[in-house]
Parts: sequence; structure tokens; C-alpha cells
Amino acid sequence: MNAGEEAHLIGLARAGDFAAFGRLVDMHQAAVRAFLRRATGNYADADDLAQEAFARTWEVLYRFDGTSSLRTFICGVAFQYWRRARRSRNRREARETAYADLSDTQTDEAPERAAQRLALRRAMEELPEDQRAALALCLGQEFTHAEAAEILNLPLGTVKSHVTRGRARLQAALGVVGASHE
Amino acid sequence: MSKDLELAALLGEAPQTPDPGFRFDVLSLTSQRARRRASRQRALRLVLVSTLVGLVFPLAQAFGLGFAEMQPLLLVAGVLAFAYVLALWMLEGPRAVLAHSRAVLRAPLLRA
Repeated sequence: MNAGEEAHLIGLARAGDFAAFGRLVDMHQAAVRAFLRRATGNYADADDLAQEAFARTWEVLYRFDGTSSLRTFICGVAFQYWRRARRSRNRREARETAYADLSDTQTDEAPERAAQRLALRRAMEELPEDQRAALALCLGQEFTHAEAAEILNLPLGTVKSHVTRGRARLQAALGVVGASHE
Repeated sequence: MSKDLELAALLGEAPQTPDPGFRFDVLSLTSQRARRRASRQRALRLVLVSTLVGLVFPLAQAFGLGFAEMQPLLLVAGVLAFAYVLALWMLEGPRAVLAHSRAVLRAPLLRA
């Protein structure tokens, strides 16, 4: 779909057209859900947050001025929701363990891969909020560094260094798992 | 770069195709929130109007106006309020008379 068609759908959605908004949801759900899945580490939580973010986008669509892409705008909303959910989760001291989260997504994978996944999640949990979000946005190559900077409201250089350092931490965590399996 | 993609896949994979179930959930959540917001606004408007109506009499007394002096004003206000309620009922009520007429009028326009 080209930019003109997207702009047309945005115009319709602003006027209250639900079908047009549905098409916009279809266009951008993969990127938003992927970002939140990587950031939260739990597919069910990620999809709940993504739904909230899209519903909020419908309410604040009039604020979208077209200077950035709609995908970036929605991910900005999703980032705010994720941050809020994370803080409230920290406050009530999450009862779920990483193992329980893991069982939510992948049950039939090889033990080595499950161990890698778990190690990565633990490493992600230890990263600062912004660094974690930057990695979740940029690793899958759905977003450029510039787009991530816009979503997270951070300078471009900071995002680049977050991604470089975060990637090194994740690779170190994977290295430890690899060594323990040899 | 492929290392990055591998890391990303381990952290969480993107859905390959748009999920209609997800879209349905988003739209139902959106309409639920819109309904909740509309009912909140309606309640707020109701409280505001009731408060204003309730304030009229104490304020009038405070300014030294008795019922006899206010009678014409109250009559006009009552007639206006009745007309407003009647208009709302005709446009949006359970048997919306004007809504039906509007639909009848619109049909030939759409065919044209």
C-alpha cells in the first residue's frame, strides 16, 4: 500500500470510518506486535498492550500531523503503554516467573533453544527501559534507528549506542548459554 | 545483520500475516472505549444541567427576585426545555420520527 492510500485511510478513519481503521490495524499490527513481544517477553501481554495502543490511537488520531509515519506514531503510543504497564507490574512485584512466561509462547521447541530464549529474556529484563525498547524496535529491522529515536523521544546517537551495547549484552548472554551446553 | 534477526526471533517473532482476530479485538475494544467515553460525557452534561437548574432559584432569591417576578421567565424557560426534549426525542428517541423521514428522503438521493 502506498503513502497516498494510507493518507486516504487515515482521513476516513478520522471521520469515524471503522472499516478504514481496521485496514490500518492490519497494515501495522505486525510491526507493533513484534516490538511489544520483544519488549515484554510475553506474547499474550504484548497483544493486550498492542490492542490498547491501537484503541488509543483511534482516540488521538487527530493529533497525527503526518510529519512521521503512522507506524511510528502508533509505536510511540505502544511504548507509553508498555512503560506504564511495566511500572505498575514492578509495583505489584510480578508473581509470574520467566519460566511461566516462556511456556506461554513456545512449548515444543528444542531445550537448547528454550535455554537461549530464557537467557535472552533475563538479559533483556536487566537492561534499562529505553535500551530494551530500542533493541526491541531495531533488532528485527522493522524500524530504523531514526524511527526508534522518534518513537522513544531520544537523540539518534543515544539510540545507536543503546542498540550496540544492548546487542553486546544479549550476545554475551547467548555465549554463556552456548558454553554451558558444550 | 543476520545475527540481529536471529536475536530478534529468539526474543519474539512478528506475526507473518495480519490476524483478523486481532483486528476484531481492536475494533471491539475501540468501540467499547468510545461508548464508555460517550456515557461519561452524557453523565457529566446531565449533572451540569441539573446543577444549573438547581442554582437558578437560590441565585434569583439572592438577587431579590420572587416567584411572581420570575414567572414569565420561567414560563419561557419551560417552553424552551420542552421544545428541546421534543426535538431530541424526534431525532434520537426510540421511535425517531425525523430519523425515519430523513432515511426516506435520502434513498432517492442515493439512487440518483
